[in-house]
Amino acid sequence: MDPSSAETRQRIDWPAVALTVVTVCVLTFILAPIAITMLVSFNKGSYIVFPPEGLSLRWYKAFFDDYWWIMVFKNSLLIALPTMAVSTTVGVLAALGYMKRTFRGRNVINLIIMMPFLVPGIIIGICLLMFAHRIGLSNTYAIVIAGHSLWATPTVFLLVQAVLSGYDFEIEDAARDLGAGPIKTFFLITLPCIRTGVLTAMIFSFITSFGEFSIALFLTAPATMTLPVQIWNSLKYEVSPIVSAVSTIMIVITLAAIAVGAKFAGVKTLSER
Amino acid sequence: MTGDVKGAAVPAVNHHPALIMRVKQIFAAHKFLWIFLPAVLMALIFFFIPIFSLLRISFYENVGMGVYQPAMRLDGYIKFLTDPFYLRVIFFTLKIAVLVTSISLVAGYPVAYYVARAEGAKKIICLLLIIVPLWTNLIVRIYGWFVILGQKGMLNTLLLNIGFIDQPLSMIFQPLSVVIGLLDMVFPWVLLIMISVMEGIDWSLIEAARDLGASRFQSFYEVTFKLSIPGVAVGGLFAFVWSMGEYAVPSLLGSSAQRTISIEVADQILTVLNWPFGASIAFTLFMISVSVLFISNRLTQKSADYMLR
Amino acid sequence: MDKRACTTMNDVELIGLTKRFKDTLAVDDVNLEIRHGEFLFLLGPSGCGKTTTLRMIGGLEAPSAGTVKIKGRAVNGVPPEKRDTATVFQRWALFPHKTVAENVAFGLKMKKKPRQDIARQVRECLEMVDLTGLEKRYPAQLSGGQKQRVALARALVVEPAVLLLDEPLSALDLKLRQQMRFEIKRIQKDINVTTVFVTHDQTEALAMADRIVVMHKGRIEQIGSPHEIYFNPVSRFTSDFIGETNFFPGRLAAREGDAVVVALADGGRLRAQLTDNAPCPTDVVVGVRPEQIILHRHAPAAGENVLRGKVLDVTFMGSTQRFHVAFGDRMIVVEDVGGAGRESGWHSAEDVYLEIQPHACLVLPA
Repeated sequence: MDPSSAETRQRIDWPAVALTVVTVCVLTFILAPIAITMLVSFNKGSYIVFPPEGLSLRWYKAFFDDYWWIMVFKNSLLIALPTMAVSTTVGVLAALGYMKRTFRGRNVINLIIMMPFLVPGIIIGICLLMFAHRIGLSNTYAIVIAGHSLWATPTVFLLVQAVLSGYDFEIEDAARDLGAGPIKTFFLITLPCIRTGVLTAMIFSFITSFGEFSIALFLTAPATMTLPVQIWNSLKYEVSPIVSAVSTIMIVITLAAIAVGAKFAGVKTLSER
Repeated sequence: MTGDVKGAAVPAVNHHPALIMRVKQIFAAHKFLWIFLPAVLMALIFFFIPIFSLLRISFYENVGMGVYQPAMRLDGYIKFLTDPFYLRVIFFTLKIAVLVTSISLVAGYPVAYYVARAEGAKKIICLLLIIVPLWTNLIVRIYGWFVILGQKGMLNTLLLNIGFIDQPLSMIFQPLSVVIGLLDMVFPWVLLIMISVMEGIDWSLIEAARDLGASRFQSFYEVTFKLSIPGVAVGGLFAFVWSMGEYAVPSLLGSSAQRTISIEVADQILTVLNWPFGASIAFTLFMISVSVLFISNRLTQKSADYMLR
Repeated sequence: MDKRACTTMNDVELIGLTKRFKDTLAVDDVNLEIRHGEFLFLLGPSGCGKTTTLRMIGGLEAPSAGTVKIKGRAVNGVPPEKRDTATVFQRWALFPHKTVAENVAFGLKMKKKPRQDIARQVRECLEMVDLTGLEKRYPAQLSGGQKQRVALARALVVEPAVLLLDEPLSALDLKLRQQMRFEIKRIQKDINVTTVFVTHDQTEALAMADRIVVMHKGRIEQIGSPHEIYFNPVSRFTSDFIGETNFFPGRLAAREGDAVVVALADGGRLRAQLTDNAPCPTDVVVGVRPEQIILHRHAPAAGENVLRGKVLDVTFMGSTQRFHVAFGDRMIVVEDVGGAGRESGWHSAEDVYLEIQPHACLVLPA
């Protein structure tokens, strides 16, 4: 019998341990700011001190009482909801077409749709700022919605593709064969079957728009300012402890969205690149 | 306030009839492509045409205070690419981007391997822990780093309390904080890209290697590592592009001494109001991003050949 | 549900039907007439164009050239929802979000039939395919065979002029497949609906068809009844694809009315009986089915059409024995159900004599 075989069982599997340690470190790193922000928002005193001096909800109350913050919050909603509608519609249609079959130019279509998402956000912000200036849409909600839709559609496109991998496109052929025209087929067959995918797409396009900063920075005016831009202002010029409360609210919204999305489409789908 | 967007876009669109004609031709020929019409139109009107506009404006002459007039001058580009001040900015940006990219790849690779190989609940939890920061907006996360790295923030308080240091460390408004912030932004994306690459590797290849006599390390290196390189490269390229073009992180977590390309652009466009010059910088940034994207596209095709997807 | 109307009319006509995909010619100039009530099979290996042809009849694929006529009316350009065809898909394509009853009712709903009529017809159809009691189930809760029947019911209930089946049994296991063959054939005969069935399985075609269309590389190789196809294949491909055939290349040596003598490349001569007086090319290949070769241990008295070879191996198959015999450079497969083939005790390299009757020799172009 090999005498070292008993030893090898006792010996620590160093590579595996190291792997686990690194993983824990990295995951902690990316989660730390989120966790800390949430903790700090319940701070009774000055925000930047940690550990908190005492627990209180005063900053949440201050947020809801502050006219400016509420207006900014409303603006974010006013922009995120139409963005959700536009980008979901456009993205779902594009994903359906893309996954149905291979065709010449499929790669080109993919590139055209994905490119706005792959270049840095400020580029889109700047381009649209200049564009809005030329067509007279500066400082409107519309141009921000346009910019955000441009940014959110690729996300929807990818998300719905992942959902469609389990969809049997042949049932559309069957519906046509039995007498349903293309429009009827879409509403009676396609849409009901991809329901969860569409819902998930709506949720995440909303989240994307709600939290988007770079594009909004360039395209919003004081009247149309969104939440992320206001937080940025706050951090840059006048630091208000309300920021921690606002941030926590946004984190909670995101967590809720992920929870719902994970239930509908599964965690795997959400992590497809 | 909200005008009819499509109607107002027509005058701008008329400037580019050739492109529109070609698109129309293609759509007329194949009815199936009509489903892509909204997406393509949106990309065309709100992305490609504005980019073209950007290019044109970058050649214009600046008159001051946001006014500019049509011209054909390369002043902006020359200034940006030769003036030592801007060269320093470019160099700094590249330095930071390379640093962030390398750290994220080196630290992220083992994590991706771990998660890709994990199963069941462990895997789902890990994926969730990566997805949460991914979808949490960046500004909120930056705020979190404020709290952690600030003068009276978490780390300083902790270290002071345990007596590790006498005076608070200056950890924020430094290149260090910019790097940390960018890492935080880039990690979830890089991790997910690398995880999906690793998951695409056929693990039975490793078994085959072990069966043929390779040690654990050898089989890892020869099989897993080599197969994952194209995918990892793609992740790295994305990390690089995003680190280079990110604005919020350097502007908040860096001091006025840390100026990146994106800060310069924003300054020129929003503060100095020298749009032509700002446009030149922006377009340069755009071209760098696009070239990197095309390189990564090539690499993705190569990795697809490897794994016969 | 009985369509005993004009039984001499052609329900489907394909004229010069062609389909090009990028640079491949999937269907090449197919001409076909299908009679009312006929059970026609499109048979061939994968990639031969049979499914594409079926889809062009149903309207799911548009032809590159040529015409499709259904009941005398040209339907080029008519979308599938307006054609009087119904398709049963290979993987059934049942609507996952609808119950069995709703699936079957779908076509009738599209035709805007009154609710009571729909309910009655659905019930009758489900009875016909033996699925009563499963109306409220969802496709995910059904077995493969049950899904198959729902797909069939869904297509039949709309009373199409032409029923199209795209390899509907290939996803089922063997026993189920054989059972369903019998069911489908029975239902088809009862309703007398013109049916086109696509398959790559020749046993299926031989068992069920009224007429078989053998397809190869987009073109029609041969059209005929199962009997004709099996016993009188007109090309090497057909005789190779249907059943098993041994091929003996050779040259025409003599012609005597409706019989020819072929000098084989590997030595020996075979006298073959032709089925008609058509001219015969010089370079030919003689095809002989394994079960039509008679084995002899010693040279038989009548010397004509006897070839000499050596036994390579023998496999016991239960009801027959399967011999591999070396003849010249080639290997001949023999399945002798009577005579010396029945005997045991054969060993390798033993001399054996193959007797082939003239009518069993198929003379085919090389």
